[in-house]
Amino acid sequence: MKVLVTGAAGYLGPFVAMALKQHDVLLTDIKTPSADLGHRFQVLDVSSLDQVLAASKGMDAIINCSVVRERDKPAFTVNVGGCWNIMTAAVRHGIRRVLNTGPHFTVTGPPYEGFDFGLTGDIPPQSGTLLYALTKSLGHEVCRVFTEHHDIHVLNFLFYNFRDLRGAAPGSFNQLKPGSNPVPFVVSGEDAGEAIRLGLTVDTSKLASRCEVFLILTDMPHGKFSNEKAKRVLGFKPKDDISALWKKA
Amino acid sequence: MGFVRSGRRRLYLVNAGLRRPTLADEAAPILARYMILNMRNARSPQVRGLRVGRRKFFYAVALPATAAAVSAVQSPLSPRPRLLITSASHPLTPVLAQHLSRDYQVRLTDRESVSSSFEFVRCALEQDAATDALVKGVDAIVHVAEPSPGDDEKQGIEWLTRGTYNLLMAASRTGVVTRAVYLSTLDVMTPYDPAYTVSESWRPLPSTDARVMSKHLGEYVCKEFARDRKIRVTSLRLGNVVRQEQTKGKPVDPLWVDERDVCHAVTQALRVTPNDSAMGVGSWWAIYHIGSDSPAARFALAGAKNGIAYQPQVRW
Repeated sequence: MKVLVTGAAGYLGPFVAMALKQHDVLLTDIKTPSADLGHRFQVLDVSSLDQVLAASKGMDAIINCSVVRERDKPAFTVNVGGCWNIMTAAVRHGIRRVLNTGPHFTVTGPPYEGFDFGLTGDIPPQSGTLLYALTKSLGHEVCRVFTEHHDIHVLNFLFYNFRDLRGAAPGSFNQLKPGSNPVPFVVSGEDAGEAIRLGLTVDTSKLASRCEVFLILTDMPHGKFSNEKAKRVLGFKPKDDISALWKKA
Repeated sequence: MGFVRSGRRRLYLVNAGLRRPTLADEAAPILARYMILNMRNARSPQVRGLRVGRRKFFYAVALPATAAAVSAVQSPLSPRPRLLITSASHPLTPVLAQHLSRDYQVRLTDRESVSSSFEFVRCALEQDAATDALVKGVDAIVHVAEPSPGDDEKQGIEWLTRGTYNLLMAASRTGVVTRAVYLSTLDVMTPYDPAYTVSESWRPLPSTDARVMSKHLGEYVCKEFARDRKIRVTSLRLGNVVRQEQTKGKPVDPLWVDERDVCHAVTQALRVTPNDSAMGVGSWWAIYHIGSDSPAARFALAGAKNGIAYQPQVRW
């Protein structure tokens, strides 16, 4: 499968690149990755429709890993405008599968997270007004509206915290620290990459709608967020044991 | 201290201030308000029996009892609230400004300079001090939310999402701006079968047309601010805004709504606090469909009639 990946120089990029080694992948980002990720790379600004159109020509799928978290204008031009450009390109080029990534509060924002348990991706989005959350939620909404009018499937993968079991620098946030009891929504980078690979190949005729949301986390006992849908629909099976995070030292 | 008394033909302003001001007829209402305010604030007695301080003098000035002057005497003491209206370059905005200026001190804004008899502040609605200054002193906002002429579709989407976000964030930080009215579009509901009695409780079905999408996303932003209890927002989804006189001879459009009725709807939305509802959003968020009451009108208006006492006057 020919796949365009945007935002490939970010945290998820190396894990996505590794998981897709059997595919013909064009990695893109506004900045060059610090290491060779094993696929072709070109610079691309996802907020430019022309660039997205050019890069996505001939592709079978687009994986959007682009993100801006804290800067006002780029948060909108990338998180919202980027989705508009990607979906416009998908329509123009007949691309029928888009994988969109985002933070958990694209959907399960403070009105949920602060109050409830058993949260899944199938609840109405309530992002709150944090810039990062709301802009990603707007981008998600752009994708959803496009799927209402075009035969394109958008699979939304939401993440919260990552742990890098193999490459995290000592002392870094992503290092596995036993007993550190993080937020109840964690996944290893490798498992995240694998979830995205599964999203590329899942039979879309088995999806309930053209716009589906999956919470990608390992099996956690907290009961706050649920990965049941990812396991049931995608066949996601988290492999990395990160239970040391919530076990007493 | 001052005292105002209105006779049959004369309005008497008695100024016991430090200086002898120069009065013109049109200044009378302003002075009357000022003096009443000062009088009330200082709890001074009426001029008959007023004790005048040694450093002050008083005199009586008789002015024609013009309607404006009398109105000023009879008006509430508090100054008119300040209202910010966005998208000053859009044709609807000056109409709204003129109508709302009866009850509000109007401030207009847009990204590009616009010539207006109202106060105008040019502002790009960035996340900066200029936007903070724009909303300072404002009590309420009418966000007309229209792209500037010449904006392409991406700019329009960015204006209605980022601009709306920065405007509401700045407004909510003041702690003073309590209410915003967002002008959305009934185009988000037109994909439903026209035979259905679609109301505000039906899910919006925006198209991917940039204009419709941008209005929908702007409403999405407003809703999150209301959900977060940062500012009360009423979204008015307007039909196709026209002036009835300009539609003569044309086939009736079921989405037509006269701009005068739109002005009325905005007035009501600013004035009426939405009631608590079974949906639990209380007075923070409300949506109303605003159209005409014509026999051929596409959408029912029960929500707006019940919620904000909307009473459209123009029919086709």
